Order: sequence, then structure tokens, then C-alpha cells
Amino acid sequence: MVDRKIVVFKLGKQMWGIDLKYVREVVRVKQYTIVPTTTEYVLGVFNLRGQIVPLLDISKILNVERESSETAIILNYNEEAVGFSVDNVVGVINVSDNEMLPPPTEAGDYVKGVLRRDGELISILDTERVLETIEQAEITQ
Amino acid sequence: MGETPDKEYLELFLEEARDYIDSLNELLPKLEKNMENLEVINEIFRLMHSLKGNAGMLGLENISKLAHKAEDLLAMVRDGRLKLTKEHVKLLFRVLDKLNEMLSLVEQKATDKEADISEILKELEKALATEEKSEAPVSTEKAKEALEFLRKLALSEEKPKEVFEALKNVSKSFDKVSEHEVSKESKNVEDEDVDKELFKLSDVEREKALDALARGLQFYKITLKFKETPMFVLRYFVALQKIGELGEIIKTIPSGSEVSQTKTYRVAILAAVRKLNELDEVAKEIPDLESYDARKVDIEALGIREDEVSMKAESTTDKLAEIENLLKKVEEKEAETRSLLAEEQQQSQKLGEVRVNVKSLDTLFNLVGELVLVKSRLAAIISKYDIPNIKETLATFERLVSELQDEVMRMRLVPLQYVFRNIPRYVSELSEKYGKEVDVYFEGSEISLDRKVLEDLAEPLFKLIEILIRDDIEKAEERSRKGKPGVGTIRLVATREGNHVILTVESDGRGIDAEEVKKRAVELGLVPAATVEKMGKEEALMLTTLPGFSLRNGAWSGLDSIKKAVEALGGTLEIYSKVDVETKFLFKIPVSMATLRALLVKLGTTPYAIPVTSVITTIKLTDRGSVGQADVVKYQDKILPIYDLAYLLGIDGASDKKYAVIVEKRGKLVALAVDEILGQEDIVVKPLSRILARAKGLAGATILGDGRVCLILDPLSLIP
Repeated sequence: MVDRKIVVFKLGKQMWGIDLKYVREVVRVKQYTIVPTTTEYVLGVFNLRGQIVPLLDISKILNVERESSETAIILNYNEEAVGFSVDNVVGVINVSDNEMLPPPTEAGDYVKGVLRRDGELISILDTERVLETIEQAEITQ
Repeated sequence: MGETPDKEYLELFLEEARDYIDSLNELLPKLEKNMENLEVINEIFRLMHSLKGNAGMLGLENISKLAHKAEDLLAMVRDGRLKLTKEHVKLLFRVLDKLNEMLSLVEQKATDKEADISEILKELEKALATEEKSEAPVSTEKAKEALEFLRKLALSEEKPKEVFEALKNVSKSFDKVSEHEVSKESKNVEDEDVDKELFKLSDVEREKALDALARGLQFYKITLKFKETPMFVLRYFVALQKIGELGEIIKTIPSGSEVSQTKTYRVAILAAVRKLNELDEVAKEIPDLESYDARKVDIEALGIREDEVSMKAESTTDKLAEIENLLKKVEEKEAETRSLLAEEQQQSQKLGEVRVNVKSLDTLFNLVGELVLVKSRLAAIISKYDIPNIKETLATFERLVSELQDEVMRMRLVPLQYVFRNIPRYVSELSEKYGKEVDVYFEGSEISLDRKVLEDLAEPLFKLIEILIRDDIEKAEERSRKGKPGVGTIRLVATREGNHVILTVESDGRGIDAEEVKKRAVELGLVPAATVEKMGKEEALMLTTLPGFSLRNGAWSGLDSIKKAVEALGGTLEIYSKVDVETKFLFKIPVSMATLRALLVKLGTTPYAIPVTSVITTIKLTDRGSVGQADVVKYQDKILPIYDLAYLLGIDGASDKKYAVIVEKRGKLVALAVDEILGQEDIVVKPLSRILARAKGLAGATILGDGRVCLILDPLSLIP
């Protein structure tokens, strides 16, 4: 039984997932403008077909190391588009609710659950929590 | 101006004016009974204002003038700068009689020239003269009223008074400490003279002091004695700058312009700062200082009464001033437009339609655009303070500003006809060039778009038409072979859909084969083969808009620039095609957009936009020097501090910037150093995502011609 669709992507050495209902599209961001006076979570803003979209680096929040990439997942957040910069998007998988396991405590606050596929662990992101954290992060300068 | 306006307009005017007079006849007795009824005062004001405007448009100068003066009087009453007396009401009754008399005159002779209003004007002048400040002509009064209300609230005594009380208590205990200190010092006569002079404030200084007080600052008299060096003048400015950074300098003896003549090397400064110890710290940094002393000054000594004081949030006041400034400019533009209208009135076809200079319309449009930006910044600031009633007032203010914006935007709409009418000629030229026969049809040419949108749309539209004639429409013999009529057809159809215009450009030629496009895109290396496989037809057709795309024979090249242009307008492009039947390009374009005149500067390789209304001028940093720690530049006869804009934004950059943008913050000029000045441009303002709401110093963003995002700075909020 399929309960939800998850977009799976790679960030650092791990696999992560975002519920498809948040995802608008996946794009390549060739060029973005740095926004000074903001937090380390914001890489900058870019032009998505005439719309100005923030490009966010969630690796800092998830505490993983990664190299830069051009791939971004565009999500809907409060009726606005925001981009998550990720290493690459693996695909979309169908998941039934009983496959979802509660996150281990060391997974941190931003993981809603984990699931196992083809021998790999996929951490499902608590998207709203990630975005709220970024939105409310204090600027330290 | 029209000497004898058309009868038709006159009749309209008279009919309306009589209605006004009737209402005034009802209102004035009400006013007489209750002279503080603000509702009645406002209503009378409004009627006088309308009468003034209408009469002005018809060149009825005497009526207009009289109504104007009456309006001024009421404005003063409304703003609390004049207390209404029985005499004033009597005077207003006489104004009414006079107006009535003049209306009859207009009815008979179509002019009010013969009326004598000199005496009654004189009396109005006299009444107005009881207040020294003269009222600026009132316009956009709705917005202004809201602003007025807003300001009163910002200054409201309710909550802030408590804060003020608390502040006073603290300052009392402070006083005890400083009294103790003062008693140790022997005052001499000279000192008292200095005090007397220093504490006597001019209006401007007094305003500054009140402002500083409202910000919760304390006053200090600072006495500096410098070593006798030729550098004294520079040291003086350094000291002022450093102390100024702590708060506000109210007054200095000697003043900046006198300092070079002085021989005492002594400076007395009246400054408002937060804490005494901050001052003490700063004093250590002033070079060549022989002695330093700071004493607290009571507001009474400055002739300021407690009840004049009210707390206000610093930045709110700033923004209010900014808004006021903008409103004033909007008003000026409106007045300008109005006077233009009056001039062109005779040529105009109907009373309801007028000609407006496009330039002043643009300026008005840009100012409103900026007003909208300031509005949202103000809203952001206000959300941090808990001031009673301000939220509702802000909501009203926001509504008014957006109504104003809508109205101005509506004024700028131009029908598509302006672009369409040039197309037939263009098509016939191109038909000849490519050896084809083409007919062109239009629908919806009455649909209107913003002037700038239409201007920017014209180029991609013309380009598309050329591509269609070049690549889609077949030559006549090929067409007849296919069983099509020899003459090809291009059809442009516009419809309105909410805030967008849907414009389709359709031709009945070869069409675009999606499969061929896919293969070609892979061949050109524009997309991986795997991606293309899963693509639907419409998606595949969009591959033609990738930069560098063209079919083997070169067809369909150049669509990328069309797509880019449409996106720069905030629009979208879709392509549909059926081979050998039709090719359809669908543009979805916003009807209008907010634009802003901005100065583009470069920091490193990144361009930034600064609204021109914040910019005084730009200079080359040649007369640059450093004074102590501070970088300064000489501009005209002033010495301005230089702030590196890159540094203010917290980005690295070369330290030896060659140019500077001069801005004014709270009456002080400041030079913001930049690497390069690119020039002015009209930019389309796009909001920044809410997730970036906390980023400092940003007013929005725009998309530049090359597709890059450029941030719009709010430089004043960056200056410490």
C-alpha cells in the first residue's frame, strides 16, 4: 500500500527524503546572488523564471559535510518557493506508513522518521521544522 | 489657462459647486455650535478642496483662490495649529457668501474675473498669519491624514509616558552622582557664559534635542581642551564624529564653520548620548586631547518642558520622515500634473479625461513604488513595538498606499493597440525579405497593459513575428502543395485574465515537431538523452527556448531571448504546435509591475541597487584623507565620514574604493564607498522571500538584464 511519495536525495554521505507534497520541482541553479546580512543557512537568491527564490544550505542545520552542487529542490513554504541545495536527487519512492521507523535519538531534531530501502537508510526530513529554524535564525554579525 | 471654458463643463461645474455650497450651508451652523467637531471641520475642508480643484481646472481663479485660502485655514484648525473662534466661523460664512456670489457671476458671464475678493482674502491671510508656518497645498489628503494620525500615535503618550517616568527616575539618581562630581569643580564666569550660549537652542537644534530625548538619550555638556597643534581643526571634527556616533550632537561652540578662526583650542559640545561611560571611553580615543570633562545637563536648562517630551521609537520616526518626504514629492508631482492639466484642459475632449506628461507620470509611479517599499519596512519595524492602536492605523495606511498604487498603475495603462498598429507594416517588410505572403489579424487590441510592460514586450513580440515568418510560414508554392491557402496567417489574440494579459501569437505554417526538437537538443548537448525520453510534447517544445538551440537548418533559433524577456517582465511563455497545422506561442504577462528608479553600484563584481531617492550625489574619492582612525572625504565645504558599503554589508572587499555615494541620514551627509558606479536604471521591484525577512539593509530585489538577481539596498538602515 502506498501512503506517501518521498523525494530521495543525497546530501553529504547520507540519503535523505522529503515528502513529495512539499516539492514543486527540481532545478539546476547555475548562478545565484549572495545575500549578505543574513545567516549561514542562506546561500543566496536566484532567478527562477522571473521569481526570486532563496537558495538554502540545509547541510549546516543537519550537520553534514558536503561539497557544492548545482542541484536544488524547490519547495512550497507558506505559498512561497524556497530552494534546498542538495548533492543530487535520486528519485521518488512510494512508501507505506508501516515502513516508517521512528528516528533514533541521535538523528537530531530535524528527522521525522527513517526507512530502509535497498540496504540504505533514508532519513525523512521534518521540512517545516527546518524552514522555521532558518526563518527564525538570528543574524550574528 | 482657459479664458472662457466650454459651456458644457461650466454647467457641470456649477451643478456640482451648488451642491457643495448647499452642504457648506448646512455644515457651518453645525461648526458654530461645536467648534471642535473634527468631523465637520474635515468635511468642510474636503468640500473647499474639491471646489478649489474644480474651479482651478476651469480657470476660475478667484473661486479657486478663495476656496484655497479657506482650505488652508481649516487645515490649520484640523492640525491643531489654530484654535477656531467665532470670528473664524463668521469669516467662513462670508467666504460662503462670496463664493455664492461668484457662482452667479460665472453663470451669467462664464468667468469670475470681475469678482473682487481682495478684502476677504486679506482677512483670511490675517487669520492664517496667527501661525507662522504656512501650510503646503494639501493633496493626496487621505494618505496624509492617515500619516498624521499615525504620527500622533507614534508620539502618543499612553505607553511611552510610563517609559519616560522610569527614565526620569534613573536620571534622578544619576544626577546625584554627577552633582557630587560637579561640586568638586570650580566653575568660573567664562564657563557660565559658555553655558548660556550653548544652552540657547535654535529651532533646528531644539528639534534635534527633542528627538534625542524621545530616543531616550541624556544630555551632556562636554568640554574638550586640545593641544595647540595645527591639526586642531581636524581633531575637532574627529571628536564630533566620534561623539556623534554615540548619539546626537545638538550644538557646539565654536560651530563647524567658526572652528578655523578660533584660537582657544577649547570646544564646548552639547550632545545627547546613552551613557556617560560611553562618552568617557570615546574621549580616550580622541587624539591630542589635553583635558576632557562631561557634565549632565537637565532638560530644563535647555528650556524644554517635560510635557513636550514624548517617547517615540527612533526608527519609526525615521521612516515617518521618509514617508512624509515621499508623500510630499508625490504631492508636488500631483500638483505639477494638475497644473499641466489645467493648461491642456482646453484641448482635452472630455472633462473626465486629461493629458498627462509621461515623465511626471513615471516619477509619480516611481515615488509610489518607493512609498510601498517604505510602507513594508515601516510595518516590519512597527511589528516590534507594542504601541496601542498603531496596528489598525498601519492597516489603514497600508490600504491607502495600495489604493494609491492601484490608481497610479491604472493611470499608466496603455492599450495593446499602440504596439499592434506597427505590426502590419513590419509584417509586410518581413514578408518581402523572406519571400513569403502573410496576413496578420488582431483581436483584443483594446486590452491595456502598463506602459513599461508594453514597451518591454514590443521587442520580443516583434522578434517572434520575424521567427514565425522566417521559420514557420512556408513559401506560397509549398503551401499550395500542402493544400493550404497560399497566403499564411499570423493571428495575435489578447485576453485579460485577472491581473494578467494572455497574448497568443499563432501562425498556420510548418509547425514544430517535438520529436525532432528532442533529438536535436540531445545532439547539441543541451540536455541528457535520459531526460528527454520522459518528456511530454509541450515540455519538449520548450527545449527550443534553451540558449543555443536551433534545428539542423537553423530554424527556431533566437527563442531563448524571447523567453528571457518575457520572464524579466514576470511573465511566462508556453509553446504549442501541431505539425503543418499551427504553431502557437502563449504569453502570460502581468498587467503592471512596480518599478523604481535606482542607482546601480558595484561591490567587487556584484551589482547592488540603491533607490535614487536616498542618494544625494555620487563622487570620486579623490579628496580623501584619514583623520585619526576615521576615513573622511571633503565634499563641498564639509568633511564627511566614509563608510565602506561592503564592510557595512559584512562582505570582504578591496579597502581602497574609488567612488562614493553620498546619502543623508538624519540631516547628516555620509559617504558610502563603492568600487564602481554603473548608473541609473528603472528596475522592477520584486519582494524578497519571507524567509529572508530578517536580513538587514535590504529593500527587495530585482532581476537585471542578464538574468541575475540584484539586491536593492536600504542604505540608511545600514549606517550605524
